[in-house]
Amino acid sequence: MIDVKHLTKTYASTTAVDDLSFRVEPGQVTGFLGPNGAGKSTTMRLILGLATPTSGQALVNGRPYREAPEPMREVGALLDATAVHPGRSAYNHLLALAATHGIGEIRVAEVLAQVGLTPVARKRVGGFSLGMQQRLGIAGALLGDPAVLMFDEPVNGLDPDGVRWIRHLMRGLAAEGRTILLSSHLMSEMALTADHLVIIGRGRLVADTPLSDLTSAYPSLEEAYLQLTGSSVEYR
Amino acid sequence: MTPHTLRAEWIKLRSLRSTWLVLAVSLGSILMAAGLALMANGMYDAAPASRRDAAQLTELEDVVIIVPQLCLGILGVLAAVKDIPASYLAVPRRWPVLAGKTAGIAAIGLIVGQAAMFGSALVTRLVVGDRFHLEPLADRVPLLVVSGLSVVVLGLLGLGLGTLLRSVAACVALLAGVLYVFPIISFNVPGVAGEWGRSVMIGGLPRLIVGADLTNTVYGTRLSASGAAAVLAAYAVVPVLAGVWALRRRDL
Amino acid sequence: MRAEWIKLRSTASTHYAVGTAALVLVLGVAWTLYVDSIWHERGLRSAAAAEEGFLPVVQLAVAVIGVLAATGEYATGLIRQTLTVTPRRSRLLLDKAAVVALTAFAVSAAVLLATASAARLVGDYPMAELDVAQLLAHALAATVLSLAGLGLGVVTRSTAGAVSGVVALLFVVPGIVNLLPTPWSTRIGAFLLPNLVPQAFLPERAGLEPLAAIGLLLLYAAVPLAAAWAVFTRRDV
Repeated sequence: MIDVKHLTKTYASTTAVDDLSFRVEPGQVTGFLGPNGAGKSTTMRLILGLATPTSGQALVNGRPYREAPEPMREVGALLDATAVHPGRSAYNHLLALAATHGIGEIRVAEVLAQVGLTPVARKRVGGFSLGMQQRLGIAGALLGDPAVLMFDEPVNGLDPDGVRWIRHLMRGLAAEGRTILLSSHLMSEMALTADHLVIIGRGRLVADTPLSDLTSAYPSLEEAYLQLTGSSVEYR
Repeated sequence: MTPHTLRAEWIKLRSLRSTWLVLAVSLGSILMAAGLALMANGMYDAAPASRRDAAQLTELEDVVIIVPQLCLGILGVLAAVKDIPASYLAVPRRWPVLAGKTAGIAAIGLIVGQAAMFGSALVTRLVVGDRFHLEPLADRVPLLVVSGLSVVVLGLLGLGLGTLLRSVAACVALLAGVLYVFPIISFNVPGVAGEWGRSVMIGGLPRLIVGADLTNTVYGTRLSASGAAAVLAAYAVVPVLAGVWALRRRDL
Repeated sequence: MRAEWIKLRSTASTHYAVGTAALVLVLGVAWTLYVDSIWHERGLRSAAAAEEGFLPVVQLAVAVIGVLAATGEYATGLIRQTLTVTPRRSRLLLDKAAVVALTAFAVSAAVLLATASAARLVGDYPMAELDVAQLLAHALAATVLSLAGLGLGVVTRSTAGAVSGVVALLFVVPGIVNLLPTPWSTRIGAFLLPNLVPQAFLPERAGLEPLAAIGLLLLYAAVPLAAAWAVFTRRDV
């Protein structure tokens, strides 16, 4: 479970996240929506301790991520799939991450197979397509078999097969009782994948609601999203 | 630092081609010493016998040490700058990542430094034979050991700077600054400031530490042996600690 | 070419490099004041002028500008977009070289002249006459170094590799040659980059003729650039 409480993050002149509170419950896929620059990625980085909140806090399984004794076994995350060393092979990239938690080579081979990268495991990541990098990032998130998973735009760059694969993966992980937070701009895909939605705009909460409530009140999810965020699509 | 983070950092280091390239170039310093010694031989043999006695050759291990020093510095910079946020997701306390890198770079620097120093010293004497009047190898063992350790210091200096500044260009330029620009400036500054500058240069510290004679050299003698050891250690410790401090506070 | 200028000028690293070079002015004044404070009691007959002492800082800073003009685009993947909008690669490389050269020359000439003038303004100790031609030649050498950095950057596509290459040209090789036995050190030394400008202005130091020295200096830029051209026009990005 992820518990975001009055989270605020200000940079020199802008407020990226503004008094944001929501919960992500286990056993379902929670979609995380908002226009570009609304603060989705910043929120995820705050939850994961990569950035320090100006005020408020984000708890994962009841404590800040940085205090987790074995973080990868609690939370798996895919933030920026392109943030890998291009000269390293997929296998070695995962092996180094696995080693931090004493996770062995067998598990590395398992997740590589799970994301379909086994044939290119020994190839340098620099030659990977964006879709393959996304799969590698997802493999890294799954390494510690965590109960909480966060994915920032995992569908970017995937082919139609890959998009469907992600959808089934997310649904499957949620069905196992895991907590899934998933951000995406593809409304049609989100409508098929998510059970619950958290929508933010300009760093503030716009909606925190079951998917069905939105789809019954509006003609489509896309329509609902555009109307809810309409006032906040403006870059600062 | 746990055995786990240590192993992770080791995997990261060994899985990059740049690491092996840097190591190869570092140990290439031994070949370089051999080549320079051959050149010196040619010159010596061409000279008339009467002038041979006066012919002098700097101990070539002191000449080529710059290569492993720079290489380890660059390796340290790359290890720090090219790391990815995912590393800090796996180890959110962050400092163990740097501790693991420190151990890895120090281990590589220890091996490469000693190998390059003793290798080039040995090769030089084998090639030169009884030409020139080189200091016997046995008399130089303490200096070679300490000079080899300066390679570790450069590696950790690069690691600390890389963590602090996160820019390969800036850090490599700074390494060149420490190894070359600072000495050049120190040579040109008259008076006490220049004397101090020449005393704390990395090139001269090993000699100060082992108590070698520094008359007729460019180096200053303001420091005692233990003072020199402290300064040499500080070149490594201060940047790494600064890196830990920066890593704790900053957003990734 | 305008595009290249905008890219160079809008990059933070360029500002840092220019700032570092400009810091030389401040350091140069400090140096001059310090030497002034001691030269009487020490009876110095002459001491290096500030711009001479800090020359390597300027050289290194503009060399880094050249390297980053190339490797910065590879590191960010911008190179693909650049080549999409400017598919004629020879032209692109030429534009880049022109912009880097102009910037490097302007920055180094301005910093060296300003430092030299400031030093003579605040300093009383005996230092060499202000020789504008020689300072401009030093700026030219710095420009050559930044073009060599650009060439190495294109060839290696690695910031670490290209900066190391420049450092080798400027410091490592001269340092090693300097320690060779005497006839060799001067003979080889005459051909090394840092010694070319002094030879052009102090012919009595033997070695190369002034014109040959300047010609060789330009070769130090031309060879890496030619290598860059050969690689850049053939290689897939």
